[in-house]
Amino acid sequence: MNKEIKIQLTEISKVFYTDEIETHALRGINLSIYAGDYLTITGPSGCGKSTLLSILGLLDSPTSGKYIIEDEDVSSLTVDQRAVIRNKKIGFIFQAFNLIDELNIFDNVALPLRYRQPSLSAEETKERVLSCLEQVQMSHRANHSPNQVSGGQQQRVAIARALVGFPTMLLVDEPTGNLDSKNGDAVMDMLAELNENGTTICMVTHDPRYAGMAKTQLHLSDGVLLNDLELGETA
Amino acid sequence: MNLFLIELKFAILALRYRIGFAMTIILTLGVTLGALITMFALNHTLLVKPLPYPKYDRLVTTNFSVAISDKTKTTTDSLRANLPGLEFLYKNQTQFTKLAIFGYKRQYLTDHSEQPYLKGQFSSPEYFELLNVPLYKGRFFSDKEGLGTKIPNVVLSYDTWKTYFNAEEDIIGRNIQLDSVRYTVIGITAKDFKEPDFRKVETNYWVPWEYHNYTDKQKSNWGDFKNTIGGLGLLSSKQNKTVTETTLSSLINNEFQQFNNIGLPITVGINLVPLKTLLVGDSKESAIILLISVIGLLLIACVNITNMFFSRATEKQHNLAIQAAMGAKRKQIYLSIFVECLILTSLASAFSLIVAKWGIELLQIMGSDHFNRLDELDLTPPVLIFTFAISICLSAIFAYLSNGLINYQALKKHLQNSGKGSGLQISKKSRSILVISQVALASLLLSGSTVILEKSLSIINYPLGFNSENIISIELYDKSKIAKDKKNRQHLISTIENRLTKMPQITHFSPSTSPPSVSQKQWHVRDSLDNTLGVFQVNQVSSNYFEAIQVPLVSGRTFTKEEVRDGDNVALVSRSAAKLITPDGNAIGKRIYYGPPKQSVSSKIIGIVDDIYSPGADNSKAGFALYTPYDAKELHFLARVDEGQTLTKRQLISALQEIDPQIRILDYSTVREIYKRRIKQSELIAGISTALAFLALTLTSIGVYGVLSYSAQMRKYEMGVRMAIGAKMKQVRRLVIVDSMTPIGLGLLISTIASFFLYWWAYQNFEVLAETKGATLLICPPIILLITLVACYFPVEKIIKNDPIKALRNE
Repeated sequence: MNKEIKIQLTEISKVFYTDEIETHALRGINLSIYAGDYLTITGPSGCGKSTLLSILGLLDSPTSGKYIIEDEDVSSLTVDQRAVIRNKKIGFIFQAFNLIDELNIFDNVALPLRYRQPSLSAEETKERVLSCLEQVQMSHRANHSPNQVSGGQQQRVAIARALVGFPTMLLVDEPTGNLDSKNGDAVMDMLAELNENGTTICMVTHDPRYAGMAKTQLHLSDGVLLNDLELGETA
Repeated sequence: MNLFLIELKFAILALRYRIGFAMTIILTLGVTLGALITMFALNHTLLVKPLPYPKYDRLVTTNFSVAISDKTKTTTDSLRANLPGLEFLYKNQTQFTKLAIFGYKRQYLTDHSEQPYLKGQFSSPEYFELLNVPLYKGRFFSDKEGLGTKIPNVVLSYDTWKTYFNAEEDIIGRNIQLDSVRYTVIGITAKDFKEPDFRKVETNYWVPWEYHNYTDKQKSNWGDFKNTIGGLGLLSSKQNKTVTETTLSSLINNEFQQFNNIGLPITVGINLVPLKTLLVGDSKESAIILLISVIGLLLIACVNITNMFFSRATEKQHNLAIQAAMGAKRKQIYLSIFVECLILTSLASAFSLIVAKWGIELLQIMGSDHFNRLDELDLTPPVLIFTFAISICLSAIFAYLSNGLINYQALKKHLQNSGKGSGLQISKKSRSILVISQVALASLLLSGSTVILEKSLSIINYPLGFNSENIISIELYDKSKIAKDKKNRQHLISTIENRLTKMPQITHFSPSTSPPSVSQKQWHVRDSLDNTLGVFQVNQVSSNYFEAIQVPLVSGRTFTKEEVRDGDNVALVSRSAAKLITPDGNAIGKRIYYGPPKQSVSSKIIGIVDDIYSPGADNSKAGFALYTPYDAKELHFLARVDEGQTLTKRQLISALQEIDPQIRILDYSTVREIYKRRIKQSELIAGISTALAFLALTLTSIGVYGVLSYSAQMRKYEMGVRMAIGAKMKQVRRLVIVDSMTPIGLGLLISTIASFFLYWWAYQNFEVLAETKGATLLICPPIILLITLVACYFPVEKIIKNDPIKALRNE
């Protein structure tokens, strides 16, 4: 069965310039991510994982190469145009959860919808937020503030926030890095369940155990995608 | 709008946890903005707000000018004219669409049980028409009450009607008695009438012009220029002021020359002074200086607040990064910063309106002697619009500056650092700019305040030259007019002296024309060759005057009782005046001349006394004074009471009643009170400049401490490393303080150069700085340096007094 290509990177390079030194963080990356993929990127520290994730999440632009999301070339968009794509098509999950302490859990999850244009009605926002919180079993804590719940629960809230905008893909950066193994396992189970239900996931991790849970494992070394380890069904 | 409301909610939630931050901004901005709003209201009222009179921009007063041998005598009087000239102008001019003439006088309301001494005006009918005086009831004067007719009608002010006639509705047509004349009440002005503040008195009543009470001699005396009468004219819209001035001057001078019996080559002219200019007077300069000062203060506060918003932006960076990752655009992130700034500046503005309300009330109480139209000061729509606009502008500026600190490209790194690293920092350049601007602004403001303070203190602290304690100045009014001639007045004074000196508390009784240092008269004094020696302040005094006020006699002698009684042509002069007469100051035996050449009076100088300081007079500190024998024209005397004793007004009244029940006390004040009244304006200015300097220093200290404290925190790790490898505390302290001193030194250098340039410019343009010394400016840099050194020292000390490991761990 042919799957729809959601993300396509072609010859993506990223060079950082500091004074007279050029640092090649990424060199000619070619990568296709299909609908329903569960992909992990592993590699040693400084290999370019974060840079690749930044480019995938439109938090950074490549020095050269082509980046297509759902048939739209996003390689050279303006800052604001990238913000719009990020809002609609990317869901972020960070190692440090990155919830806003001043907002309660409901408002944290609703945050991506606040920046969506055209804006959603209050009713629709509420419905979608509660549905996502239900999905991560955190609806009973909607009115609490993030610092009133555990780390594992905070990461579940972050997952709900990543899902609320119905993104094309979830970008997950070391999701278990700040969690104990029990909570880490629970989060990984949740991600696996989301993928089984059709969510496309791209995850950066150091942990080989969790990397193994993905359908596709990519290894990055010195900015080069060395090999594709096909562990499950791919197109 | 939806997003704005959401950001509003988020900002309120965020600020709930930052009460200290919010309160500091609200208080700092609120107080300084309140001061600015007060000064804006003052300047708007004085300089922009229309006068409450129709065609006010074409209303002018006709001030007579006098030129002797091409030297025009300048005057600061708001009104100035001679009676025959003013009447001639009224009858013969064709330049004005309308001309009103008016003057001031005081009379007793004799048929009232309290016999109050009321302030009145005598005016031609046009006065009411030109000012469009609102009427409560009755009517104003018509042509039948104009010049040449003497119909005893009176118009009362609303307050007078309410206060002295119990607001009786049937007042119209009733007779009232002012001094000895019975007038019929024909009208009451409306409550909201604001009369032009020519003489800073509220008029109680108006009578027709012909009731001015001047003698026939005065009515025909072209050389008697008074500051109590004047004209108010309406120019037509096409009329040129200068051309009109020339035409009127020619008209009046031609007439004057026919009657000039003074014997001097005098030319009389007419200056047309726009009503608005006249009413603003010299308070315009003070109002603008105050406005500039509070702008300076607000700028210092804004620099401090910018620093706080910078810190807040660094703290907020994490949230902004999350918002950016969730798809917030740059303008949405800016909106998030702007809304927080808007909330704080709006709350500060609301608080500033309360501060401004207090400020306006304070100004109305303390500044009424200096500023006109203070009763119109209020939080009017223009003031509220200004407040609203400045609130929005400040929010936008703070948000813009904070937003400029955000590196959108770097936001992502913060999210991916997972708490590692130091995140966003205020750059060294930004910190240096903050310190330079804080120091420069504070130093400039301090310099300005110090120069103004120096000027005010020089007036306040200048030695009076006499002992002003325990002297009471008393002015009497003899209602029965029994003392119409000199002999009778001398007899009355002698009787009063005999009675009062029997009172045990009175040690001296000394009649004089006016109290010391408050001379009303100024004479041009000449030598025998008719060379002008100078303008001397004149006081006519009795033989024991100098003993009573304890002014030492430098040489010669004082008047004898006989010289005073006979009005001999002898005089005493002050030490400074003596030096004008002869360079060696030995003026005894010399003759001086004063008055018109044809009627010149000569006096022989018999004594020289020490200088007396007269605050507020043109040559106040020079003390050029001329004393002639008391001529008993004014029923005024000084009474010195024994140390620790008092002479109450009641005791005085009781004593005077024994002599003549008709005698009234016009004025009863201690000389100290009179002096205090004269220096009140200087005290007000000194108070304001001290408060400004204090506020500027306080705000700067806090601001510089804030920035340098942040800098020290940024260098905490570096300091830890240096200490760990063996640097001594004093070495680290010196390093950090010397580094901090660079922007401080730069700020001081900029402000010192700027303040000297500004001082030089102001010295050339503002007379008020004439007696100040630029050297005062040199005091300011060391003060700022000291304060900033302290502000540098404490943040460093807090870090280096701990173990180096704490700094290394960033604890």
